[in-house]
Amino acid sequence: MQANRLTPLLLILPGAGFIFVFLAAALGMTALQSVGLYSLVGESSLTAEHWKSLYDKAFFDSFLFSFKVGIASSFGTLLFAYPLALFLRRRRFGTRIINSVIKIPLFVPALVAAFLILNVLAFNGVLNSVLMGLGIIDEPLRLLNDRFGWNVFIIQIWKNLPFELLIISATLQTIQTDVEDAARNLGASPLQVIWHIVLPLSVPGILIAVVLVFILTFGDYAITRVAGPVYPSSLSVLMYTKAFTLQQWGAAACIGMVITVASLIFVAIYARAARAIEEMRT
Amino acid sequence: MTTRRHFLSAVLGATALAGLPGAAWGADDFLTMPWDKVVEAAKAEGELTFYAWWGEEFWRTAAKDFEAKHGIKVTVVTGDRVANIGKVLSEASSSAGTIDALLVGGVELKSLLDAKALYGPLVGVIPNSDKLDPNLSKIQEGYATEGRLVPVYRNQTGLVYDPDKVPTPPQTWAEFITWLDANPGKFAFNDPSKGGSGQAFVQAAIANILGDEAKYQGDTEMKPEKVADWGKVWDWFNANESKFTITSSNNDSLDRVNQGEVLMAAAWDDDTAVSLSKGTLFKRAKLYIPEFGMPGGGDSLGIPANAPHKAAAMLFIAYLIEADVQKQLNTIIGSYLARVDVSGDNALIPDEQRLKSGRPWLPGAYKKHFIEQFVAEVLQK
Amino acid sequence: MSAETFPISPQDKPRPGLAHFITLLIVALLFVWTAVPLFMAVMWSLVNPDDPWSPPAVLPPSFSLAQWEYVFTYSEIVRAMLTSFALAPIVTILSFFLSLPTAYAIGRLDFPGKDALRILILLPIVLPAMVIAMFLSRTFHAAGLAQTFLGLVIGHTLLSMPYMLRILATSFESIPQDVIDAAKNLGAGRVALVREILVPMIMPGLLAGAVFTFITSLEEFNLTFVIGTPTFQTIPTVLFDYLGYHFVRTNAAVVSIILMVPSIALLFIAERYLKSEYLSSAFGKL
Repeated sequence: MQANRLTPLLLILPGAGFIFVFLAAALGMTALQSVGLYSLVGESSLTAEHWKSLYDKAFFDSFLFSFKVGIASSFGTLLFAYPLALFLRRRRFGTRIINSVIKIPLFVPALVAAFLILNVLAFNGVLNSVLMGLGIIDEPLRLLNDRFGWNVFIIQIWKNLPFELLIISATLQTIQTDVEDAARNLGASPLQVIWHIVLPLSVPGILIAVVLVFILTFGDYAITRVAGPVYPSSLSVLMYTKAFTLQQWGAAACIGMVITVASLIFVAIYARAARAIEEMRT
Repeated sequence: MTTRRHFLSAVLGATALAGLPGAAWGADDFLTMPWDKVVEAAKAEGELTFYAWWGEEFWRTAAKDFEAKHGIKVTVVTGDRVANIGKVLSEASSSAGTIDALLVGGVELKSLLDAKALYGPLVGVIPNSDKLDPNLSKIQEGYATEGRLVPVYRNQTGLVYDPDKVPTPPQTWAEFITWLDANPGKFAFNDPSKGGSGQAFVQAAIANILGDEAKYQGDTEMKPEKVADWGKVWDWFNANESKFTITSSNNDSLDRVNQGEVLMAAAWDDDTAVSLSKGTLFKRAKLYIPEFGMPGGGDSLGIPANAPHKAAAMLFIAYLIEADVQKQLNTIIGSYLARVDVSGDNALIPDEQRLKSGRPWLPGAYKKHFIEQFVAEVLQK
Repeated sequence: MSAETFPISPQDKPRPGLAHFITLLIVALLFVWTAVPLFMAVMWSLVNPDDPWSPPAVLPPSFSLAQWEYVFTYSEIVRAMLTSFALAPIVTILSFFLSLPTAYAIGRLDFPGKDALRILILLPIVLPAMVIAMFLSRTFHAAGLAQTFLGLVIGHTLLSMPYMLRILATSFESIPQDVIDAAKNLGAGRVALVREILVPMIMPGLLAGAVFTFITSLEEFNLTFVIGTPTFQTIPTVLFDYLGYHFVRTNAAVVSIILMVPSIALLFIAERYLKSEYLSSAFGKL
């Protein structure tokens, strides 16, 4: 298709321009306020004070908590998603119904998912009733707002399982079966084929799934605020509290920068993984 | 839409704004004209917007009845308590706000008073406002309100419990500790930074461990020498940490009682009454104020200085403190009336118990301090 | 479950009985996993105020619609639904018009910096929403856009448009060049080309993109919470209130169902357009 050199620029302007302007406004404001500029109120001068204020227990506890929940949720989901994706790889009896039932949580808004799981995990909830009924436990488990964040972790797995499954299934579809067949014919066991051929080839897809879930969980506000422990809070919750309760917008901006930079690092990993998939296709 | 520039300067620099000349002050006429003229003006205005943060059932019922009575339409908005105050402050610099009346409570009300963002004095002008609780009409959260805040209900904290499992609830602090030792993990209060009933329990601990609760009263600023020994209280909380269940809101504590997770919890009388009537707390649950004392106070109504429908707002406030409406409030939310000349039969806690064991809140400066200290010294440990 | 029980190549024929058993087991587990939480929410929304649900009752002892009546009579839900259902279509239409030229350029044209552009249009959905919300609100306050409907439209468009953009770009990309060339060779004019080839071929992608954008706006919480409340409430901000400060399971259950049903219904209706290709172009690849 012939195009003037200016044409693409004019065409990308409405969509990409809109995103660029408002994203730059938001992230630029975060960066500036984290060093004391544009504080909109009081004095604005270049300072490292806000960054220094991050050096406290609350920040480190929150960082560790967000990181832990992010890693636990993304890999925890993978533990279920990967075997399921392998199982669903071949069309057979039952795959259609599995595919549509499992997709439902993908369409359930995050806050609703949090509420749904809260009811299941409650003291008098289904989980405890079943475990008590089976005689596995004598006392109901107390999972709400627990210090570890089991609650948040289970909500994230419930919500993200179909999401990871979809991405991994899409990657598995790109793997050519002739390599596997060859390995089979050379006498490899199913487990060996998975371990030596399917798994390495699906690494980019796994990375994408894990990275996306990690970023979403790491920066989460609402679910942790609703279901997370009383202390520590997630980084986003800490950022919100600093800004709106304590009126420390500079410190909040620094936390915002930390979350953003961490997310960008993971976006870079994601971009590399996506390129690898693209290369595999061709 | 009015411009809402300088939102933050308004929120943060609220104190600075107070000095600005003509910061949406003026239109004092409703405060001096005869009441029937105010009623006339209210009907001419024809509408008002009211902000609250809870008690939706009562406010919307009252709004409907008020419209039927006076033909003035009330739009009720329920937002976050602190966000509502923030909105008034953010609009304070423009000549016309969008809020006509709001429910005000909590230590954050200081910023509204400091910014002179409230219209008034209303107490003494609005009919029957002389019959309201005299203390609450003058001072809230330890701050002088200059009659700009009109008390609308008084509420009280206490302990809610399951009488099947706790046949004789503890009365003295010593009995409470004995009970706690015998029932570890079965007592809940919420993180004090997330709700008043948790604050109430922390205040009760301060008062009972250190004694001399009265010494804080009357201070508008925190005196550091008076809080020097609070470390003992935090030590006590840390030593007993495993015996408490710390929840994330007033209502969360009630939910834990309903689920059977805890047997007793610190709670508000009004929240408890609403939970009982909504079926989110089992009917046998009981609420009482232990003899070791728990605080109570009340919330008020105010009119922003730049409210576009001030007369209608005044008439609405007048309506809300009418004897019948106060009784209706008592029925729906279960706390007791702001008026002292009428009493409701539906308060969860009998008057004599409240007079005997109810305590005033520590002044706002101290309350703010113990909330911060609890987070830093107990939750973070 | 362990990996070795999964047959991985078409030649692999396990005993059908075992395969069926595993399949049934997975179906049963998934059904419990998905349906039980939904069922519990429905139960909580039907609690009878006169007959509370507390232990030892495993299910509510009796049912009533009183909780629904309460939410519709006294809560913010009606106002919130009006705002939500006004925002979502406006945001979807705005996203469509902003996305169309850009998606066309990404899908059909070659130009320098295309890879960077693909990453840029991904950022609004992968960067932490609360950071974007809070600091966009700072800019909006300075510009007088905070607490306004326009501010919400802009913010929602920023966070939902990437879905439209990415799915439309994929659709444009997937039109084979030879179809277009053939049409041209057969003498098709510009208008005919657009009407007979481009529009029908991107229509499924457009619908999928619209559904995603609409639902993202409907479910958006962080930005609305910071920029819109208390002046504007949407269904998710009402739900957050009932899950947070005003934690009331029965109200939260009703609002959850109100929020969830349109999303699930829309996606199931649109499912025939939602090939996994679109889902993966929405999330999975660059």
